[in-house]
Amino acid sequence: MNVTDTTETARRTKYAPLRAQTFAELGLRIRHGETALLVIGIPAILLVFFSIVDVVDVPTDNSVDFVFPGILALAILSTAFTATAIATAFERAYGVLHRIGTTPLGRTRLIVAKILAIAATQVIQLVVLTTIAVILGHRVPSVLDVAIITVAGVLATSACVGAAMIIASTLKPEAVLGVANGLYVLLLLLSGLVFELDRLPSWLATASQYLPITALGEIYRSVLIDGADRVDVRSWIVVITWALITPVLANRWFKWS
Amino acid sequence: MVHNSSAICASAISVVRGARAVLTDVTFDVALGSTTALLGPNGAGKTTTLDVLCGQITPATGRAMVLERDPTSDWAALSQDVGVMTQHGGIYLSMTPHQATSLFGSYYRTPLNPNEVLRRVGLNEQACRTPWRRLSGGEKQRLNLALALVGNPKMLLLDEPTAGLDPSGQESLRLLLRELQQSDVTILLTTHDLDDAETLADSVIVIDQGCVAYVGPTTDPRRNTRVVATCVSTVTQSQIDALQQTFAKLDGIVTVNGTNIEVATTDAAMAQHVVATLAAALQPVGLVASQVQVCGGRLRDIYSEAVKS
Repeated sequence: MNVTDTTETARRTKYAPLRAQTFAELGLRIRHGETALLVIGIPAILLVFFSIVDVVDVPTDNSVDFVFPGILALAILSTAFTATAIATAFERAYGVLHRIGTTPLGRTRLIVAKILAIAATQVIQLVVLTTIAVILGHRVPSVLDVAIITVAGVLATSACVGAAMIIASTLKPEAVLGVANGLYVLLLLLSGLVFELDRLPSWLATASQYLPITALGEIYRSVLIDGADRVDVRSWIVVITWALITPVLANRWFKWS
Repeated sequence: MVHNSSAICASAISVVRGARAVLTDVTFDVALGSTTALLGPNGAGKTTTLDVLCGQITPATGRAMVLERDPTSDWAALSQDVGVMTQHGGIYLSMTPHQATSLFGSYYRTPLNPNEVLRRVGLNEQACRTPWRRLSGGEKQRLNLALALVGNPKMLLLDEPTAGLDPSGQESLRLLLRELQQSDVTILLTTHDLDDAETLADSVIVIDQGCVAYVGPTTDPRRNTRVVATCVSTVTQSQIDALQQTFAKLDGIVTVNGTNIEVATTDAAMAQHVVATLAAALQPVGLVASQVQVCGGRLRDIYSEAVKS
């Protein structure tokens, strides 16, 4: 074996497990009916409902302009947080993680594979939800809009997956089911995704600004309503901070069984 | 082939869960290329021992070395050479054996062909296309073994590999393990089947209540040797008393179990003398034996003596 072969083997050893695990995670998500409903069906229904039914006052002329960025953020929450926390908790309960823990895959590659699979799922979400929004009257996003949405989405995904893994590592599966769904509803209400934050008590509105999904919703609104030239610095700082903290904590607290 | 060097060296390992000591000062060696059975009652600490050896549990005290590496700190590298069959390990519910074996094979540097591995463990083509959740218990167990083998390991840690298998499945597994033994793979397996342990393993480790109760060969003629006379009629108390007087001179302990009279002896070399003495002592007290034989020294005897709980 020469040096090139050795390097090739080392590269294969490093990336082949990650690639295989990513595709496996993606395949499992796409084939799982309940997950598909949670990550595509529910956000799509909410987008259509709040865009065409005049339930809440919105500051834009067209409801879809206000609702679409919030629902995009909600879709990331449902995919990267709720679905991931529940799936991971049950993988632990069924002994899948314990078994994987005895292989060379390792926790870092497992977490990265989950993030990549979720990111791929989000591309599908982005396409489906944007198509629906455009049909409902929203403007077609520019390439720069899509680029900013993607970067912010990847950061928020990292934050949400980290939080999901922490919950899945520290609670029993049944508790994870309740907590993940409960937080999903709570964040839906507190993050200003379908109505403006100033409807909340001022202390609650202030606290909510530091939630990653609130910040992501604000970034999306600033891009999709005001245009890509407006930068919401505070929201970016909030999202980046969460994106750095939760994966580190998840890596520390992650348990195989 | 058994080599002299150690594949596993467990040194004074203790594991504590809450206030309960799960393992206490567990010390043993497993020779390279050998097959060792880890025995003990339910809850004795067998699975915990395997979990320590595959880096899943960090011992409170003590240290394990597996293939000259510490599994706690170096499992990432070590796992390339160690296949683990976990007792309660599951698979993604919708994944088929073929998909699972291919996925797990991708984790390793030099994996075996997944189809070949599935064939070796006896999973037929139809089962290979069936999702995990629809497989029978025996098929799941075969897949568990396939996942341990697919990385082409130098060592196998198998937690109750025959559990849930039908007799033909158990026989296939024995044949497979013998093949692996021929390939110099070091095997440490837990089991409750003492016959399996005796026929498959070179040596045994018995764990009881978290402590090592026995480490050694699968047979030991010095252990629990006794002479058993099977009588054709029930033995009365007066007959027992008469026999006890005879064997008091030989330091033998006489016990009666139904129609069986057992004389325990601490000296295996004396066993044949005890046979002759017992045979001669029966007729004067009015007993007739269908057979008088030396028992003990087998794994079942070693195990019964080691496990007090």
